[in-house]
Amino acid sequence: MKPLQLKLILIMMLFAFASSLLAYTGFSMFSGIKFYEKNIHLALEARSLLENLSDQKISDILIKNLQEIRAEITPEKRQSSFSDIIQAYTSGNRSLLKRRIQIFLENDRVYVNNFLKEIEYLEKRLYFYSVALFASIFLILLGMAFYINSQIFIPIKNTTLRMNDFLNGKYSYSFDTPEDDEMGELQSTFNLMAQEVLRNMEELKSLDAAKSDFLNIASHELRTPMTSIKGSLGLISEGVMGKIPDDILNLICIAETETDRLIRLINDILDMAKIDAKKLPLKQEWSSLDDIIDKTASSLQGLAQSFNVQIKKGNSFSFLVFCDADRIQQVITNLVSNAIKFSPSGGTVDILVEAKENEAIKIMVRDHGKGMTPQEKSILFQKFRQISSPDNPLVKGTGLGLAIAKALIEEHDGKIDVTTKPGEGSTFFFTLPKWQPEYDNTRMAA
Amino acid sequence: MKILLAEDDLNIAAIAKITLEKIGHHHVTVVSDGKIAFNTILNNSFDLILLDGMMPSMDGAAVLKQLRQNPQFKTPVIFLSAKSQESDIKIVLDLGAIGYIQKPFEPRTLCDQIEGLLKKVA
Repeated sequence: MKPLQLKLILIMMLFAFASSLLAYTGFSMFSGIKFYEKNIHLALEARSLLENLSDQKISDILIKNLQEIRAEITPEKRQSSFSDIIQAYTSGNRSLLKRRIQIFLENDRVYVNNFLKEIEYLEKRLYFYSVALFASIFLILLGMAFYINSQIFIPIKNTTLRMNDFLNGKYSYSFDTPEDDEMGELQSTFNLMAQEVLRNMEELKSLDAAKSDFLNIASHELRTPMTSIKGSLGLISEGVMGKIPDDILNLICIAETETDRLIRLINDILDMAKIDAKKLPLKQEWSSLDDIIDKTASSLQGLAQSFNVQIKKGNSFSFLVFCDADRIQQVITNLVSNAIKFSPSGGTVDILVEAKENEAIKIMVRDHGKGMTPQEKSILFQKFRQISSPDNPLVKGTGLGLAIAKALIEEHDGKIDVTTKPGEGSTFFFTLPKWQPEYDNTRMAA
Repeated sequence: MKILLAEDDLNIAAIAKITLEKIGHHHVTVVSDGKIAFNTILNNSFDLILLDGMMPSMDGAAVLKQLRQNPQFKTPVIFLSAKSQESDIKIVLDLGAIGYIQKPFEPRTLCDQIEGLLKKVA
């Protein structure tokens, strides 16, 4: 058996034994009082019978009553003198009966007095005894409460405190000298568990560091050669290296376009990997939505012109949003460039905003393209999935843009989605939870 | 202009050299190591120094720090830095670099970027 459990069971048994002993003593005192009370009652009954017995005729009922009393009274001396009375009564000798009754009643007064004294004594003892009994039960319970508190509840509380410290990142887990009981067992188990957790944490940390290293190296090692390739091709296609024949220039331009695409793909994959590895820290601050949208729109003017599409900024954008401006610009760029690519020639792409009090601010990008079927919509935000555009072979992406946009918006605690119908265009929108109207004074303060 | 380009990636250095010579008509000396860069700067006079952030033996910031120990040193310094080294940019600007050009750079805009930075301090 376990020490703490054993100790508790021993204490319980001791308590049970002591209380039954005390209860037995109390009960015997109580039954003593009952005994004397019964005798006094009998004496009174006998007296009332005997007082006018000498005037009564002999009757069977009376004899039976007398015999019943005789059977119950104590001690023996009294019993025998009571028998003498019954004998005198049945013999009909009235004078003898009167004398015997007189002697009996005189003696009985002494007995009754003694009984009363006994009762008084017992009652006093019982009173003190009860007080002592309750006091000692109270003390025993108090002691037990202290014992249980110090042996069980305080250690549990301490252990819980340590565990909470551990949860809060203070790894002061070790209990120096765990007691040799259940509580100690709990504490040493916790020690072992904490060591295991810490070991795992170290392992995860080193894995994490390895992942970071890999991402950094991959970024650098992939981007550097791409820079050289793109630079070389750029110098040739610009004509810096001298005039080159058109058919060769054509091939160089293809290589350049595809290099651009590869660079975008590398950037997107690395972004996605960083998002998956939670290595893309957001630099969130209050930023002007107007500025973000203006920057995005102007950077996409070239693309819009090449598709003969117009970017239209809708209603007012005088809002401050709490976000990583670069990342939100990346998202809007993605949505707007998609919208441009899927717009008919001569069409417009609208950028709109909807700000309702106590709701997240909603930024919308609407195109007037051919819209999407529910099936197309369902793969939209998945990695490496993209919707083909048979009308527009120039539409080429990495298939990661919307997946990255979704991850970035979710990192901002926002939502991204699209409403679309075939033939009616699509409206992509995302929400950002923290925003406020941009007053002039806040702008000056910022 | 006489330009010193310190860049350890030889291909990028070659592209930058061609760009600066063909488009900007500058005279470019290329070195690929921090220590060599430092010694070359000490023994020659340049109108502009382009320093890569990450180089073997001595990184760009260390080179600039040593150059600054000579109070006579007044040549403008521009850093070439990848986006992943954002934290280093502040360090080199504090060391007195006139600006930085983010890698990967576009050859056709490299000269304009340099001119823009030089105009700012002129």
